[in-house]
Amino acid sequence: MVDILRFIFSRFGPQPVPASFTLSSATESNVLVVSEGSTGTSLLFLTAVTAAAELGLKVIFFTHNAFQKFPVCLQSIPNLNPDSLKRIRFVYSKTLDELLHDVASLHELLAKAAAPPSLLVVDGLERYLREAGTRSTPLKGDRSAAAHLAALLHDTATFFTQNHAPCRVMASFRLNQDSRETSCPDPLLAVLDRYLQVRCTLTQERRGLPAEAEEQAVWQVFLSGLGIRTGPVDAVSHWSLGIGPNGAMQFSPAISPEEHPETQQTVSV
Amino acid sequence: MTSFLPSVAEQLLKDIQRTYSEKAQIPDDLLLALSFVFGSCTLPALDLVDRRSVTCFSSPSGRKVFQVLGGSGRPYFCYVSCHFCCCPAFSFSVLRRDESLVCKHILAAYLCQAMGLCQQEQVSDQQMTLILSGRTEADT
Repeated sequence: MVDILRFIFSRFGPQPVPASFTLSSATESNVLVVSEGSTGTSLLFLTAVTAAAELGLKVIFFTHNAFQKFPVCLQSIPNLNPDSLKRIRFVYSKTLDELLHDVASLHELLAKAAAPPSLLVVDGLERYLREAGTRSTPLKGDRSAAAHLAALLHDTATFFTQNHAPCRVMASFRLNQDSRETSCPDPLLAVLDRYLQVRCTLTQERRGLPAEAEEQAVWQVFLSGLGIRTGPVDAVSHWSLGIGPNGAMQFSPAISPEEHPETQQTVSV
Repeated sequence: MTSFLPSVAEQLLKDIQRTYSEKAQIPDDLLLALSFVFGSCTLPALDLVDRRSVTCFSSPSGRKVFQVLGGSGRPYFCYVSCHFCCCPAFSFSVLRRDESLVCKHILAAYLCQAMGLCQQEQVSDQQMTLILSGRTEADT
């Protein structure tokens, strides 16, 4: 999954994607996008549409409800045409039980001679899991529910990878108010890390300007976690992300603090 | 499932597999090592192995999942590629306390795989979906 993310960060960045870029055939680590606000959803959507349009991947996108408005400006995505959007199948799972069943049933696609998916995207894990923590389910408690869902996603991707073609998972988890303020990590994240072994953290830079003055919101994007092992040692793992008023996303490799005279004040999680 | 284990545990399971295929038993030194690596769930796991409690379910799509009958006879399901079990011990000592690698059901599945003692059973794709999602036919 790291290979697809790096493709996205350079596709929507200052430098062109290297001609030598190829998708990794090795079983890639799955990614958890942790963010404040809805930027995680925007990154998931951008990745899904670009993977379908430019990499020709079949994508299954699980979310609670249909998008009322696309989280990313589609005009900013090159080579986009109705046919490529057909490679994305949106599945609207309302509850955790529905989501578990929808993911568990993906293997039944094979009996219908449907092409197996190459990318499983799940938006809003925190909503599904916080619902599990508030009512008694056979799994009694949200840690077990988080492990069940993440393990099922991992096992499903592994099944398709070992029997058909590489299949990756990318999910988003929106931080709630407490874990942002008390800087004490949500206990569910430690469980999810066991199965989604690359963490993509998005933190917004608060530069103290009035909201109207900020034509472009600026975010810091960090890749970390056990799963970061592919690619050259000096591969970039920190990017700046600018999001324009129309939702267009622009990535650039971040300059390390030593190289940057003015040390920005960033809100860390 | 092995990629989720530390290499010492992986190697130990390979040693058990090789030794058991030659002598049809696990020598004391490997039993001691098993107990050292996996801790208190070792004996209960070996008991489940003795009772042939582990079944590998397969469906026409090729999907597989382990079912382990617990001491009370209740079925627990474990995935083949990563560690998950819905038993209370996994939730508490693995997820919450992070003081155990696995629970006795997952270890029993590992051991039965290594020793070739898994029962095999075929289920339909729809039944497999219910098992994977943690539901039973009674829930539908």
